[in-house]
Order: sequence, then structure tokens, then C-alpha cells
Amino acid sequence: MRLTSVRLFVFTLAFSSVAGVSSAQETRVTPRGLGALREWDRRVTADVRSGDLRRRSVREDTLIPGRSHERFDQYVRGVRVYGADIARQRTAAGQTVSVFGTIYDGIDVDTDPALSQADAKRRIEALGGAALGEARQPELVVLPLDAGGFALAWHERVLSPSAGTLMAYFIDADTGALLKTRSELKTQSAVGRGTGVLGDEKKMSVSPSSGRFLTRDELRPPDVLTFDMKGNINRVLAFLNGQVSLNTTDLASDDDNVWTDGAAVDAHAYAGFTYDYYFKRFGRRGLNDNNSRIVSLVHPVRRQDIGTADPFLIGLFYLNAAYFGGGVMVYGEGLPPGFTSRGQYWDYLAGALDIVAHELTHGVTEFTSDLIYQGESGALNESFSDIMGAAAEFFFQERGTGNLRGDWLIGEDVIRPGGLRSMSNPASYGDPDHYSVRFTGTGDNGGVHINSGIPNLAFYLAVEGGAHPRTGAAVQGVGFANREQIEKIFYRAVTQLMPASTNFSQARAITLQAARDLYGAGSAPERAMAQAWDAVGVF
Amino acid sequence: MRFTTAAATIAALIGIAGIPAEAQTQFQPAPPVRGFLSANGMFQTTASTFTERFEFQEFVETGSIDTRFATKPSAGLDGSAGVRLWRNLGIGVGITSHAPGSQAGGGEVTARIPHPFEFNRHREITGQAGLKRKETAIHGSLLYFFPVNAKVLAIIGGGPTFFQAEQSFVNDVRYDHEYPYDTATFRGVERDNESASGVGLHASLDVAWRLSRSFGVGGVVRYSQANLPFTPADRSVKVEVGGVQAGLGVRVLF
Repeated sequence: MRLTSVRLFVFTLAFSSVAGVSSAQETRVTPRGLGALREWDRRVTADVRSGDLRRRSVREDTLIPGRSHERFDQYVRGVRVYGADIARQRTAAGQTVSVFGTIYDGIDVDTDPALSQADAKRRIEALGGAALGEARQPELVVLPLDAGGFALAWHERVLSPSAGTLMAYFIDADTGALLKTRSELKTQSAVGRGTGVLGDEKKMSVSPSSGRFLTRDELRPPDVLTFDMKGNINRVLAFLNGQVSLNTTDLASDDDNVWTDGAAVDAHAYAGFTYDYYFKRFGRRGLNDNNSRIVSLVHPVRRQDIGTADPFLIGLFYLNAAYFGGGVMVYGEGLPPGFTSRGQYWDYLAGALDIVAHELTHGVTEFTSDLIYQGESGALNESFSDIMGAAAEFFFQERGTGNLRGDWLIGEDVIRPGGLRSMSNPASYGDPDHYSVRFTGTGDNGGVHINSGIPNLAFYLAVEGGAHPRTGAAVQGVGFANREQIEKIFYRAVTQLMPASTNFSQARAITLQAARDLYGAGSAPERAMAQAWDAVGVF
Repeated sequence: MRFTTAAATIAALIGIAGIPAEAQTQFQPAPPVRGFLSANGMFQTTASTFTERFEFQEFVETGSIDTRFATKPSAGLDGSAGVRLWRNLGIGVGITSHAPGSQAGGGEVTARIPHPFEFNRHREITGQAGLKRKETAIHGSLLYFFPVNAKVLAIIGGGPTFFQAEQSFVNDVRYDHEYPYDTATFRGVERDNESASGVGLHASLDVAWRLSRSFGVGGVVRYSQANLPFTPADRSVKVEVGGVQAGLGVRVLF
């Protein structure tokens, strides 16, 4: 995106790549590498045979036919270990693809409770201040304690009038003492109603805190946080430079959970939508595929200050949205009413789903191929963000023209009229649509936002088919209804197959390899991809 | 109660009794009967159904819960007494108690649960409601004693019935869901027992076969009906109670 995606800093998130990183008793199962995977697979199988693991569920993979996902709970002498489970992915042939989970070793507790289930129920009812029905019986569990060690505990939830929430209670199965309690209402009530930049209503997944509601999404697996910087540019810069940390008081907040700050509403909701798109389409769990946090900053500056703002700030925090690395996005404030830039009005940049998905996709790229942000690899980086931005838009919005519709324009909902780029006809926005007319200058990091039009058009043609808008070269696309195939080809290519310095020619070869991997040699998607690259002059 | 229904039922009951047409002409005076006591094992032969739909708010959107509960024929107990006051007319009182069975699972509940992230994307779940009902009816009757012959006495009755019923209702559903929350799994329901009472009507035919001067056996067929107003969790639900009951038991005649 021109003027967007300025990556000033790349925060590198350090995460474990070691199989079975253990604390004293807890083992987080995250095998990296085939050997570690095989080792954990054997252990899971052995533990299932011994009864230490019991299969809770098995589900078919909705994304990859033939794959299945098993979930196992850990047991000790017939008692479930609370929070200890394993998820194993297998192929139809029974080959294990992944194993993740948390298990505990060295559990030494007496699993014979002194407190009966009936007594435990009465105790929990007293703690919660409400009676439980016949169907609600406490479960005996082995509870890993925060301070280390384990306790045999009775566990049940009570909708507590005094606490005003759904509370989970863990009481000592011998003494009846309260071991642990917490609110479990997060899946019940932390959803608010918000009005977006364009006046549309959205649900907001937020969290209650001290009588207020904060833009911390507790329903999705990662932390999805939206901070309202209230125009405090110094704090924004200090945060981006790592000088300060943002905290709860920086989160956007609302008293009645009816949100009216459109920028905060859209940044928060669209970040969640983008996570959902990646999960539902590709099974990906966020930017790093391990649910790293997603941080959005809105209102980095104040619109009324634009008259005195440094041009650097106008380009960065007014007329821009950017991924700053490490899962951090900043969405520009746009222009005050009545102001335009090059004949276009710029609204809050968070108000467009394709822009939000575009920026978050830079995070996906950062954690995968990390395409170098220069020249052709940089243009591929930008193009992949445009592709996923448009794809996310089509996923959630009805196809059409105008606001809140899925289309092949980028940013058209908030940069009016017309948006920033066209994927179906890049030349109509002054961007190259064929390799022969590519930008070869040094500006824009070697044309990362300019030459992205070439792979953008290849993607469009591979989906929709038809003729190249300028040369007339024909492409037999897979059809809009099958766009998922081309999305998966690009996703696989960028996240799994591409090296950081991929050029256009390599991108052609890699996307064709991805097409063969997914759909077979000679398949319609492979043919569509090849014809599309032919049409834009990339061989 | 629709009175035409009751009248039709009485006519049917008389037909069921199979009284010969010539019984009137072959009338043989029976020993005078001043009254009777009866105790019956009762079988309610008809089923009744109630459905309820209510809405709730979750994830800033409206969801709904639909419950369907149908009773099935079931056994109960019945006792009654009557006394003849003038000529063949008398008054009586009876009490019937039974807990109707229901279809498997005690009814079915279907809930449409809003999605936490998106409007107009409800998840539908279905499960067993586990509902129960218990009915007690007190029948006040105007009786007509109809001695068929020396051995057989028919008693036709009708009048108001006071119903008292307990019915459990689904007030909420429990479900599991996990990210991405596109589906939900039924886990159970939250139920409350509610009581309601009201007055309906009944019509009955009791046929006693005298085995000795003051002891006999007999059968009774009764239709009773009322719509009782329940208010589970401040909702208003009308439930039809009663139905056609048939019973066999002992008679004491005096």
C-alpha cells in the first residue's frame, strides 16, 4: 500500500523452538523438528495405552481432507489433571503431523478424596451463594497449583449472585479449603456493540474491568488489544521505540459497552476478523501461528493538529496505516472533514477491513518468509498483503461496489473515492500491470507499492479469469466461487515455500509448486496460475 | 373447556358402556343405592402437547429457545364418592392423580444461540429437555344414577374440575463452544418446576357390577380438561391438562 506499511522497526519476538521446554513439573509440548515430533508421538501413544492420556475428542480437519485432530486429557489414577491436554494432528494414513499441549510429570497425590462429592457440592454452593441442580456435580480433578505442586480438588462452576459472575471454584478434596477461583464469564458477557467508522454495527469482543469495558479480546485465542493513544504522539513514538510499555489504562474503554469511537471499533473488530479469516481459511493461529498478540493503536495523532503537524507525521500517522513489527499496527487518523489529499478524503484508516487485513498480513509474512522489503521481494510482500486484504474482505463482506462490500480495490472504504489501488486493473491507478513496464527506480524501496500491481493482477486473473486489461492476454481462472484455491496457493507459497529474497520469476515457480502440492499437476488452479503469470509477463 | 367436546365425550362414553337398547324396557328395580365409594387404577389414554418459545439476549443479540413437551398415555390413581339425593340425582366428588409420561428425554429443546463475533449467524443446538408433569384433579360432579339391572349400576356425572399441576420448564440451555464459535454443542438445560391451578370441566361414566349387596367392581371413563396458566421465569405459558381417562377398580355401594 502506497504510504502504508512503513516498517520503521521490526520487533523480533523470541519464542521457544525447543521440544518440551519444562518447568519443574509442567511440560509445554511444542516439538520442532521431525525427531522431536516422533518422540512426542511415541510418548502420546504410550500414554494412551497406559491410561495416562484419554482421548476426549477426535475431529475431522475441515481444511485438509483426511486430516484429523485428536485431543487427549491427562489422567492420574483415573482422575483428570486440570488443564493438561494434548492435541495431535494426523493424516488419513495415521502419520502424525503435529503434537502440541501441556502435560505434567511427577504428580504424586492421593486420588482418594476425604470430602465426598455431595459435601463438596454443598461447600461450593456456599461459596458461590447459589444452589446447583441435580445435573451439576463437582468433578474431581488434580489441580496444578500456581505455586507449584498439585492438589486433589473438587471443581464446579456457580453463577454467583454475590460475585455477579460465573465463578469456577476449586476446593481441596480433603479439607474443603478454597484453592482457586476465577470468573469464567468471559465467554458469556464480554461482547459489546460498536458503531464503526462507516456507521455500521459490529460486535466487540472486549473484557470487563472495574465497571468499564476494555478493548481486550478474551474470546479469541491470542491477545487482541486495541490502544487508544488519544493523539499523544510522544507516547506513540516512545512506545514504538521501546521506551515505554502500554498498559491497561491505554486500552480503549467504554462505560456501557456500546462503543461509538469508530476507529477503535473497527481496528478491534477487524483485527479479530483477520485472525478469524486466517484460522478458518488456512488453520493458521495468528501472525506467528502460535497466537502471538495482535496490537492495534488508534488515534496516534489528533485530526485538529494536522495544520501544525510535521510532514513526517502527516505521512506516517495521518495518511497511513502501518505494521511496525512484532504484531503492532498503527492506524492513521485520516483528515479533518473538508480536507482532501489528491482529491480524496481520508477517513480513519482502521475503518477498512482490507487495510487492517493488509497490515496484519505483513505480520504473517514477517513470521514466515520475511520477504525482504526491497525490490521484487518487497513488491511480493506488499502484494501478498493486498491479496489477503481483498480475500478477507470477500470472506466477510458481500461482493459488490460501495462501502462495506467485497471488491478488488484496496482501501476504498476509507479513502474516497476510489481507494489506493486496483488489483484488477493496476494501470488505472498508475501502477504497472506487466513485467515489461515494471518500475525500476530506487524510490519506494524499489517500487514495493508500485510493482505489487503485477502479482496483484496475476492473482486477480487466476481467480476471475478473463483478459488482461491492457494486453488482452486470456486467462482461464478458477472462478470467484473457487477463489479459495488461489488464496491457498499464495498462502502456501509465501508462508512455507518462499525464501526472503524471492523475485517475481521465483514467485511464479513457487506458486506453481504450491498449486501442484495442493491440487495436483495439471490441475485447474495450476493452469490458472501459469496463465495468469504468463499474462503479466512473468516467466 | 369446550362444552361441545364434553357433551360428545359423554355420548361416546355411553356408547362405550354398551348398554342394550332394551335395557330400559327390561328394567328390573335394583336394591336402592344411596351412594358409593370407588377406588380405581387409572390410565390416561390421551396425550397432550405444549410448545413454548422464548427469547433471550446473548452477545448483544436475540437468541431463542423452543421447547416441545408431549405427554403419553400413563397410569394413575383415582378415587371417588357419591350420594344420591333425590330420585336418580346426586352429587359426588372424585380425585385423580397421575404423573404423565412423556416422549423420550422428557421433551425436546432447540436453541438458537447468537454468535459472539457476528450478527445474524446463530448456532442451533438441540437436546433433551428432561421435563416432567404431575397432575392432580378434584372433580365435583352432579350425578345421575342409572340402574341398568339388578347387578349393574351406571352413574353419569359431570361438573367442574379443580386442577393442580406441577410442570417443569426449560429456563436456559447449557452449551459448549470453542473458538471460532461457529458451532455449539448442547450440554443440558436449566429447569424449574412450576405449579399452577385452575378450574376446568369433566364428564364421566361409572359402571358398577354388584358382586354382593354392598361390594362390587367397576370401571370409569372420564374426560376432563383445563388450560392452566404457568409463569416460569415471568413468562406466561398455557398448558393443557387432563384428557380421557379409563380406570378399573372396586366399588362399595350403600
